Amino acid sequence: MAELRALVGVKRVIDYAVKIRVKPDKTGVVTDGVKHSMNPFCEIAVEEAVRLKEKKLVKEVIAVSCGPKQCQETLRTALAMGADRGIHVEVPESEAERLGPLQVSRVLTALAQKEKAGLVLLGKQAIDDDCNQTGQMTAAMLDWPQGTFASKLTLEGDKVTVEREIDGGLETIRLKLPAVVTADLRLNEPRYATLPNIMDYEAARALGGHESQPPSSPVCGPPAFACSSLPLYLQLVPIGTRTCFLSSSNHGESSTLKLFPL
Amino acid sequence: MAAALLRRGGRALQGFWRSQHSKTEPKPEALSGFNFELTEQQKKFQDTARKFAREEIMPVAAEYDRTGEYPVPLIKRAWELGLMNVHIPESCGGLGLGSFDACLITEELAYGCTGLQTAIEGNSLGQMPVIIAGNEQQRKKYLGRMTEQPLMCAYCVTEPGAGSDVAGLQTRAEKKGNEYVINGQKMWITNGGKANWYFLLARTDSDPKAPASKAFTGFIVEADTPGVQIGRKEINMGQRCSDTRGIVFENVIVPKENVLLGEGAGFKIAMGAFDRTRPLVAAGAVGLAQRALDEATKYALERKTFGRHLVEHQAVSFLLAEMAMKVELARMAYQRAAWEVDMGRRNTYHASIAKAFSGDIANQVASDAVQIFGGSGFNSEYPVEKLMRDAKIYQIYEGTAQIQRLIIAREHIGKYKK
Repeated sequence: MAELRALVGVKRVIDYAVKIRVKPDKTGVVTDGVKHSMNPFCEIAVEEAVRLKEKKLVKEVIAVSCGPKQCQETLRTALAMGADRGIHVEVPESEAERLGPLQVSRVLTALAQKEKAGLVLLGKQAIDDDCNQTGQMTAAMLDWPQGTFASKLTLEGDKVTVEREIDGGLETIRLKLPAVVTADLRLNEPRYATLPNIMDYEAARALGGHESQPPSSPVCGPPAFACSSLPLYLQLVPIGTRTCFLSSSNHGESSTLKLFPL
Repeated sequence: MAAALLRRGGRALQGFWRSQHSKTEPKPEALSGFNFELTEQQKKFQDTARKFAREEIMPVAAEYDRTGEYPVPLIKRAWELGLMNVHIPESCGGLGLGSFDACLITEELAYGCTGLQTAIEGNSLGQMPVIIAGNEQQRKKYLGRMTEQPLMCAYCVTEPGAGSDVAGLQTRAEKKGNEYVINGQKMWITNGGKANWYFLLARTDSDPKAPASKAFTGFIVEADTPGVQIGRKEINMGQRCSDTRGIVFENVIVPKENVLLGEGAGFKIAMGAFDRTRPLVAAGAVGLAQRALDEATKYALERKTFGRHLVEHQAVSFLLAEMAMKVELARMAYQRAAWEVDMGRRNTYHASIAKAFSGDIANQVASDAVQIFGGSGFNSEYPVEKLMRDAKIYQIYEGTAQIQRLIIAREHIGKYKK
């Protein structure tokens, strides 16, 4: 069984099927009461990570999401799809609008190093901002090789072969781990949550959940795959023009990371 | 006062109301009492069923309807996703879901294709007598196997000579030692040709004056028992991919271990099964009606006539409004019926109302959808003619519209009699 840990970033975005409406004051798009779900490319990334775990090439799949507390929903979906642990990097609602690829890649960089991940899997872009930057920036900050727009991924020992869909056609590259890979549409077909999986997951959540806690309540993985307790740590992460610190707290089976502006 | 405000600051007022609307945050936790919110788990069930229906059923439904072929790959897939056999208790390897959760799933599947939904529903109906009245061995044996492989089962009650009049069943079961010998003919059996086993209702009391509540017995019959002759696949008006057959039972031997509850208990078991499955049938009809409404609305937003989109003509928008009213109300009706039975209460009144109403509105809404499509609606290249053909059976099976009215009248008047 490999020692490889996969860190998968998942973003909560407005559902692809929703008809977007501009806010009356023209400052943005209506998000209140609008259906949100996991970014489709992030779904593909989670699916790939879970498949690698099923092939026993990856030991642990850790899902990460940055944003306000509703991101826990997205993390739960990732857990129901087969991720082992979920980390919610909580960003208060007021700051969330200014959260962009630069900030998220800094967070992912810090987490990848902290969690000793050997593979960072992301969606190629988010369907709300279409930035297509996070994967590339994360790789640069980590100084890891990157395979973006992956339509095929093969792990062999300490190398990963990535077939990329680029403007000219298909390009195959081989990267030495640790590496960052971003998922494109044809990488795989994400699984459904089958009903038995949903029930098992909800039952486990009911057992181990901390539902009554205040908004900063942690995200739990099912107790069967209980998270290792995280040591308390402090790390300075520059976010935008302000420097914030990333702190973690241990609540038994779960972990929450909070960004505090200094 | 309001009029003056509107005239003066019309825009501002509009903006005020709109901002009030967008400010309201949906309250996540239900207060005690009436609640229309689904739980997380229910929403996820609905999402899975919806995804399956939109992505896997809808693209192929028209083809299955055309050929009448039994949708084996779709059934296998539904079984894999856990969307089939949802009522089977957890002790037998199932999900043990109540009627409400099952209804949510059923509505989503029916949105895709009611033929497939009926095939899957046939399983639930066939299993229900075993779930409510089976002993440990019967449940482990006949329900257990359904969760291990994608098998089908069927509910065999209707005969060529007796549909609504269950008390008029002619199929006989004679006790001979430790076995029963069954002779008779059943008709219009959903999944008849694909079932692994049947729930069969037969007359065990030869006395013609014996009351229905004592004269019938419920049996579990393995489909490969010698003497079971499966008829040809019937070509129906709608839900054509569902397998409907006549079955002849000629000296079919059934061991006494396969009797449900005991001799004479059959009628009550058969009717008890309906209480649980009637909301599901209503949910199926609502799924069809919702599909008809969606297709008609989308078309009306695209098609232009007399220089404007169809929706801008009041005649059409009023049609759509009435269709919407019917769908919303039918949905609430089945939800109430399902909720009542999940609470452990007798839901006959609400279940009959739900089934009667949704069967009727499904037909009306599907017909209106064809109307909105105009000439195209009549054509097989467009989806609505299939919906209209599929809808008719909802006024017939699992208790005809007329029988439902008998039941509702009886229940309603009964409340006033005391």
